[in-house]
Amino acid sequence: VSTTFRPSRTDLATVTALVGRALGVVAAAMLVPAALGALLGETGSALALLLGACLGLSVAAVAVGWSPALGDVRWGDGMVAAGITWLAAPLVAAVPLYLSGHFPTFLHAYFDAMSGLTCTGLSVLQDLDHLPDSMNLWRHLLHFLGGQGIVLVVLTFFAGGGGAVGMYAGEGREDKILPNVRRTARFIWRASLVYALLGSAALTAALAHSGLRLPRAAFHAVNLFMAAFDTGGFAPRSSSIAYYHSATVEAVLIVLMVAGALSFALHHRLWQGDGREVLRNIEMRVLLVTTVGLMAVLSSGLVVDGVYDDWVEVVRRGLFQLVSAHSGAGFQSVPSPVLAAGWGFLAPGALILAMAVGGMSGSTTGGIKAIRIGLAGKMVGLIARRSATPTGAHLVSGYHHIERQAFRPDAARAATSVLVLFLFLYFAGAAIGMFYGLPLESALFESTSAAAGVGLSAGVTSPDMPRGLFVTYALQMYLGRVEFISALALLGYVAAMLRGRT
Amino acid sequence: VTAARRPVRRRAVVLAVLVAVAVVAGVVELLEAQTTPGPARRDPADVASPSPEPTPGSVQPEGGCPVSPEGGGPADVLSSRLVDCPDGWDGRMVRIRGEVVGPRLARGGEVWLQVDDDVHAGTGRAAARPHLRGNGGIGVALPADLARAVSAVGGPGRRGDLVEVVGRFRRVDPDSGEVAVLRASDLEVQRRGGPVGRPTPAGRVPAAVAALLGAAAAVVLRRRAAQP
Repeated sequence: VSTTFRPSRTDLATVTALVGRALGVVAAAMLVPAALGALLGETGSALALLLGACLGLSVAAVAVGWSPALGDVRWGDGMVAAGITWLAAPLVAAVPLYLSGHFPTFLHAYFDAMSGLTCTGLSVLQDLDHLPDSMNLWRHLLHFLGGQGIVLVVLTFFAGGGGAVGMYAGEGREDKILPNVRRTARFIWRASLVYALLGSAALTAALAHSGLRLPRAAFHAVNLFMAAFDTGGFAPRSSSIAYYHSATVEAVLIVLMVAGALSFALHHRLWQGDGREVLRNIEMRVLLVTTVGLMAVLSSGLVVDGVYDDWVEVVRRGLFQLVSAHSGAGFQSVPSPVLAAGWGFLAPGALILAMAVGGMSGSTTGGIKAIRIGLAGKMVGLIARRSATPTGAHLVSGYHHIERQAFRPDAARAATSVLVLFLFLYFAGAAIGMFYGLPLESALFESTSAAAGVGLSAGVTSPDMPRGLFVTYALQMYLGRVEFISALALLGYVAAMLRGRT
Repeated sequence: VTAARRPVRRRAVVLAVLVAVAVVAGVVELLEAQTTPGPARRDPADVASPSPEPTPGSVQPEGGCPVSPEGGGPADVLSSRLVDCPDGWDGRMVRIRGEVVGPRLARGGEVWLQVDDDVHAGTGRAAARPHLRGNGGIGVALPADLARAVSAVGGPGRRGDLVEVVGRFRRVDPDSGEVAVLRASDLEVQRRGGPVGRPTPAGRVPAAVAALLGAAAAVVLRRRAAQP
């Protein structure tokens, strides 16, 4: 008989301190756009960001001050802290958004903050085309914070021990690139900053080539880089990438989105000059197969439905939207109504599948992730081989994922469980959407987009959406980002507090 | 052994009060934001009025797609109708009215503009998707000399020129490959844009100052607590 113990006061204080530190990071990050606002003379926006930063820092300082100094934190505490952080951080992040006057209620602002931090990209902001630059930068910075991310900062500078691993795993990360989590976190930051410099420079050049003047090109480039590399999907203009009317910009963004969809472990290997890993990696192989297969389906759909007559257009539009969906970025190079109603049946179906699969584990993408598809496929293959081999024969299987690994049925079962949970999340969201009167295709498209953290929209997400859908999609973004595990840990924690023994 | 209680210092009380004041000021400012005018609280009736009288010979849209063959003149149409039915409008001459927003993209002899005819644009006519209140508009390609008439583009803190554009709608533009765009042959500026006076809410400065003091106090309290 197992006994559940109520968390001690020290446990609670530890969790509070970890969450407080994460909130402090989010609050402190607001000072960057606040400074830009002050520089550009956007007084109202700068004050809103300063107010949000100060409020967040006050709350964080009180939370951290309440607890004793952090030593080694337990795995479970770290996990629960990650679960709470991903719910509480959008509360702090939403304060300046709401004060901007571009959201009718705080729920709208919270929705956008959650979407930003979870790198989803769905937005209910009103009148983006007149939004102050500083507030626009804040939206995109949310992608960077969430993708790179909040917890990583805490790990880099503060936490240690099992709690660090718990927090790290709690936001859906699995890879330990270097011997300990703190060094892994530091590598991720270093790699991200190098990509930030290179990516922003490439985008600035592409935008300038497309006709934008240099200062504006640089501003748009920085924002677009954060949205692309962190596979977020916000854009500085309401018409997303369609605004730029440029194949060059789309090409650079495709490269950045692909880079964002790769795991940092793979990046680490590439940085070490190990190019063979790309060819051997099971996730890379899965993504290659799904990308080629889904591109074939999507292109067939566009051709059969007569959407585009020119094959160059088919490839340009199709590839951009497919990479955008597969990587979870969610940029659009065609207007939502055209995507929803003008692309026939096959092409949106391919996009839904691409969104559902997502990118690599240990990247900033959402969705089921390629490793789980790969392991599930391996298990199916093993079952098929077993049926064709003599009774009692011992089958051995393996795969390459950063290093050669033996196939373990328990790992495959764990992967399949999360896969099933994701499928349930996609369909549950679609069922709720249909309850609100949406047609099946739109409901499934929007639900998958929210749960997989993509941000492509069939036109459902809007400021006037029913509140039930706001809550549904926000919850889906949260669960998809933390990949259920820390949310379940949090639920267990609450249950233990209510029913556990002291 | 019972630890001796340390008396609470006056300075700590002052700091704690500052933190409390900061939180209260922040909450009050958040509540006040509900009544502060902004894009999210603008009444569509303020900026939209019924569609203008039909132009003789123009095609009048119903729903998304045009209901009659192309007549003599360009059809007055909303951008939302065009993207809702790109096949139906493909190749037709149309007239849209809206605000030029965002930086222009100048490439060689032509310029790309974004023209928004949404509820925020103040076009003086029924806005595209007024119920959605998001932005809605269309990309317009036009010769550089025609684009020179536009002196102000909308953006943070400023309203762009309100223009009337006549051009041919293209589901896929044969020259550029762009999707759902307008290739303009005529542009007329109906109202010049300029700065938008959105005053900073009165309570924001004191609230920000209070929050700043509160944050500083919280950090001092935290440092003291961390000291052995």
